[in-house]
Amino acid sequence: MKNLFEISLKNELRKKSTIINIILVSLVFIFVFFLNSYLKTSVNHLENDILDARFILELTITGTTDPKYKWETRDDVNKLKEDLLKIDHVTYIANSYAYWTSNISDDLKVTGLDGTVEYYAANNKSLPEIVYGTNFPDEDGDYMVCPENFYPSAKLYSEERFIPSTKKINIKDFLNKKITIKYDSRGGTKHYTRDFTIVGFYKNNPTHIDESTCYIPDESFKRMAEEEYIDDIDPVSGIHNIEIQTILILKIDDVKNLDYVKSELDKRGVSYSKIYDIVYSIFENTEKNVNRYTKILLVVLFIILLVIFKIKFEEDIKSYKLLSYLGYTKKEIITVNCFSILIQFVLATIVSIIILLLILPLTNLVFDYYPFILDKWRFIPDYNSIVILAIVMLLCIIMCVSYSVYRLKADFDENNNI
Amino acid sequence: MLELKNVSKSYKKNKVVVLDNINYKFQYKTFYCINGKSGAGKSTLIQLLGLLISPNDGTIKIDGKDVSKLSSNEKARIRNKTIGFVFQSYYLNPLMKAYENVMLPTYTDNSLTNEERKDKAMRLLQNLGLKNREKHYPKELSGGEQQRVAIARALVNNPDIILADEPSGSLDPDNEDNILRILKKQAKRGKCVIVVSHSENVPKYADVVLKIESHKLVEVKK
Repeated sequence: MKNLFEISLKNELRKKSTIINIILVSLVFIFVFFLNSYLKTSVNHLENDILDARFILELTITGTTDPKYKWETRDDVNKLKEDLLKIDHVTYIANSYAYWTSNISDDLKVTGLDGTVEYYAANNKSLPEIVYGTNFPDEDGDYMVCPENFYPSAKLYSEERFIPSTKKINIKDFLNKKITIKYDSRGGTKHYTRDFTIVGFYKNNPTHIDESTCYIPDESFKRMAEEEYIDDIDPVSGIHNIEIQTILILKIDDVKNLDYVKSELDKRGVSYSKIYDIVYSIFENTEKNVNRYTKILLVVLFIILLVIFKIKFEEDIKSYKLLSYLGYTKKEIITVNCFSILIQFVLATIVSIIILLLILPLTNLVFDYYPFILDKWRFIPDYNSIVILAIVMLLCIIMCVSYSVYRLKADFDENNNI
Repeated sequence: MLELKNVSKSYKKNKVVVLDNINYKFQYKTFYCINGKSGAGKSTLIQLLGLLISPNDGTIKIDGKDVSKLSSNEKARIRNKTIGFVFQSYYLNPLMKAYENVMLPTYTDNSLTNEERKDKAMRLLQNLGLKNREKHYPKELSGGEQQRVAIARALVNNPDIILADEPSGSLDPDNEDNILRILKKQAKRGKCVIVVSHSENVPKYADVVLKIESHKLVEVKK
């Protein structure tokens, strides 16, 4: 066995094609590793972001089956809010009037985004945590508080939102900047413009659903709503028929408790829309796509590896025939061939590991300097990638050995004229 | 003694008959030359004698033992210990040095150490006039030198039979004479040397000249 290994080793170490094969196989290995690491890291990143995120259920109060709840006034909503806060795992509820018509501001049409923002009414108490700037200096003024990860676009809920950070607004450029919003009355008879000063940015995460949500003071919101519904004044009572929907943003401590909270809401007859589900479906679709592409690419790479080793076998067959002339048994020739495949795989693995050890820190260094490439995602070799790589290698070795054994048995059949 | 008894070989389900009912006894201490036209069956005969293929009919005996029905592994071992091959194109492993090529048939013998293998190979190469060329790769050697390395490889396990297929086919007359002298010397030392050749020079060295004619092996008077 030792002698046969020596023959294989001498052959493999001295062959020029060995170097080419090792480089090719290493590249395939590295590609498999990077591809899997990248895709898995991406999915994990997305998943972690969602898991870390405030899971948001948007409750659009359209009615309850429980007669004790009413929703005509803000007080009614506050009563409901207090009750909902008593549900286990509900950590926070913000309420506001919601102005569901999205407004498009020319000032926010930057970096290719369409400038669409949804405005929520809030007061300084109900505002989320401010991370840059201040809250409303005057609760009756035209001020605006926007998210720190600001993505003013109508395509917020599409997969496009998971794009590099280069498309996101640099909030520092927008602090204290006046944003002009144009809007019309619902009947189209009046046209309004209103300037809002962005006074602060609240804390949010990049993959949250609130990246296009800005808050304006309750009173400003009310004024805008009245102007928008100016054509809907009841001619008899003189009262505005303002169809402002009251929104409760409900935060749950963990996704595991989502179903429990939903069932509690159902018990109370509270209807809700599930923004979380939209985000999660994006995640699920992304993961499905990633898995599908990974499988296709792995099959392609697997075929490439087999082709490389088929070419190698055709090269080696002459030396195996020589061994047959010199009195080597079929078993010994097959052993020499298996050793030679193993040697190439082992060398390719060593080369791959060395290249990876050099490349990984370098790649991450590049990403640190140019975060737009991967939007602060990093390659972290995970157990899964190593297992996938090991499986690909093992399958290749088995396939290469099986193929060569089959060929050797056929070619060295004594009735064939070698 | 290498004996062919009623040996026939055909291909394509007997449609192409190459050798038909061959009977011949090759003796030790004899240099045989086998002539014949291209396609007459010389290479087939060498492959039969070298146990690389099996006859359709008949038996091949080495020292009285029928070897034609042995398993491929047993045949390989006989080939390794009893038969040495020399080819027209030398058939050296280009990735191995001259002495490593010569050592190649000895790797199946686990009783030898690597040092012993190397000593054997070096001595043989020196005896064949390749001193100081032992550590060269085949591509660094001339045709004549490469053929001598191939002969050294054929002799390294001290086989009783040497089969040479056009051993001087690629060589100039001087080198051809040199190679044939070496083979003749081996015959004188007791080996059965069988050379298949077109060359007119080979019969001069041969003790017995044979010819394949009409699928039969016939002895030609020198």
